[in-house]
Amino acid sequence: MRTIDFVTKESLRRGRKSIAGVLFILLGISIFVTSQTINKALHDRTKEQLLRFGANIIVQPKGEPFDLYSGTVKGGILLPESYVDRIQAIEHKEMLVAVSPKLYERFEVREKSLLVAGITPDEKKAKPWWLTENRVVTDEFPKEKEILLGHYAAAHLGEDISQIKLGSETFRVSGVLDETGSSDDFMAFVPLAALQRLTQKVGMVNLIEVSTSCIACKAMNVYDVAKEIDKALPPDAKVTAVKQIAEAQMGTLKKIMGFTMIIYLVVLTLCGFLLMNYMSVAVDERRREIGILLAMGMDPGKIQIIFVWKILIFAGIGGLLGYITGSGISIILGPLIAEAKVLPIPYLLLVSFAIALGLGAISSIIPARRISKLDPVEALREV
Amino acid sequence: MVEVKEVTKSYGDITPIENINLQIEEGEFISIIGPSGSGKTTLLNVAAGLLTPTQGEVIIDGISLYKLNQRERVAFRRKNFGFVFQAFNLISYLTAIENIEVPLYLAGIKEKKQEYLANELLERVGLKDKGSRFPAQLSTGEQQRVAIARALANNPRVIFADEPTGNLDIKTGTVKSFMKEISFMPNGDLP
Repeated sequence: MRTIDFVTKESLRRGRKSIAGVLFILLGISIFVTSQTINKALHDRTKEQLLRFGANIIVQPKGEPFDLYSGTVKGGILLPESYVDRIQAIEHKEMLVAVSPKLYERFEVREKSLLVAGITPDEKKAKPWWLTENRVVTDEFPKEKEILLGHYAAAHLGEDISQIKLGSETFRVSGVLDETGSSDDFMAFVPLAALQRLTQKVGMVNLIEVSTSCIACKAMNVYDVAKEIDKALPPDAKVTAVKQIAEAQMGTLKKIMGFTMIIYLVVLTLCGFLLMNYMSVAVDERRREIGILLAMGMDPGKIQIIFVWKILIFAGIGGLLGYITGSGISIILGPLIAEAKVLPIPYLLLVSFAIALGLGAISSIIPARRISKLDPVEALREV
Repeated sequence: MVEVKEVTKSYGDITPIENINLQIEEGEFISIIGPSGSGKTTLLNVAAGLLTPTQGEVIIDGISLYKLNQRERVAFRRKNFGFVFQAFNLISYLTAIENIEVPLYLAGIKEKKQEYLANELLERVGLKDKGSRFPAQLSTGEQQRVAIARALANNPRVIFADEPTGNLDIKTGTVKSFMKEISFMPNGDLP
């Protein structure tokens, strides 16, 4: 006979009741895991959708802003491309989704005016919706000597176009963007370095677009990030947070966080209540046994340990099964709710264990205290 | 030696036992007889350190039981007392052999020795082949035999038995010799 035998033998012998105890924990944890997994999918989806709004911080030279539609800067002021490195080194750099330096220049192509933007691969990160013929634009874009045409820019130049000469260099048309509904439709895109070389503006850019994700951030918002970038850059740079997008992000963030908090509270309260109730009933049902053991000289502390062991074992099993069940439900229901593929989140297994064990420990405090106060004679008399 | 000195136990207006004096010498086997509700179980519980008296004291081998704190009293019971309860009070989810092992486990005896001693006792009470049965699978008499074996398992100085013969498969008159017979191992101590 060992202390643990009082737990395992009782649990196995009273199989149905044990299953009920595990089910309470399983229920709580599976709801938690489901909400977390689907929430993450929603979060990722929302993040992607928010990114569709484009950059939410713009870094420009102080002075007259770049006129995107005419493609000219009256003062001709540029920023050093090296500011990108400074931006990427800010304290909360994990919030930066993409830092896209851009150089613009107008060219005459087939006697028509074409606005060309020099971009880096980060542009693709900021614009995951870029498609050519319904296929996602490759992550390797832009490649040297390649040009990507916006939807209307291509139509403007003529459909049979396969090569474009910009200044002294010829670029192969790598694709035509599907319609985006943005100014991208009217432009062409080449590697930043190529455009810098062509325009003799090596190491310079017109502006830097910064995309941040404020869904992931807790204490910070896009304004704080803009302030950090502002501090990191010399005074010739002007940092602007795009207000509407920032507020949309903040609003969505608040809604998601609020929804999550409510679910957490409901699940934790429910789980804790069920466990406490289960343990209280278990103590009542086992009063006679507790009375016998106390009369025979078992230390009340040891009886408490037996009950705590039991709840911890149940919590461990319930936590594991709850994780599996919750992940399974998420995989099935997730795509319907989040409209995206949902994958299990491995670290939630550890979180599930921690919550189940924590709840188990907290829920067994009151029943354990009742045991310590139980009078063996009273317990035996009630038989 | 067990000494019950001027013990009174009251529950509000009800006083099941009043000013009881009792002295039991070592090796003595005594029975307390009385009608239902006369306070036999109350006296037994007080004497066994399970129920604090309203007045008086219980002294065992010079130690006043109720002057010990609860933890010390629990330890004293574990070491010195064996119990046969009024109802069988076997632990339902443990087999017969495991029920007998409980006091041995409480005494800190290692598992293998627990099993050996419990089997010895089970054989002595005539239930050698029924060790793996659960209480619900035993007859009432068999359950009581297991309860007696359990009470004797840690070779206690004092055995408190509350109506131990009620359901026993042996004649009441032979209970005394039965308990005496099984209560001592050949060398009079734990093997």
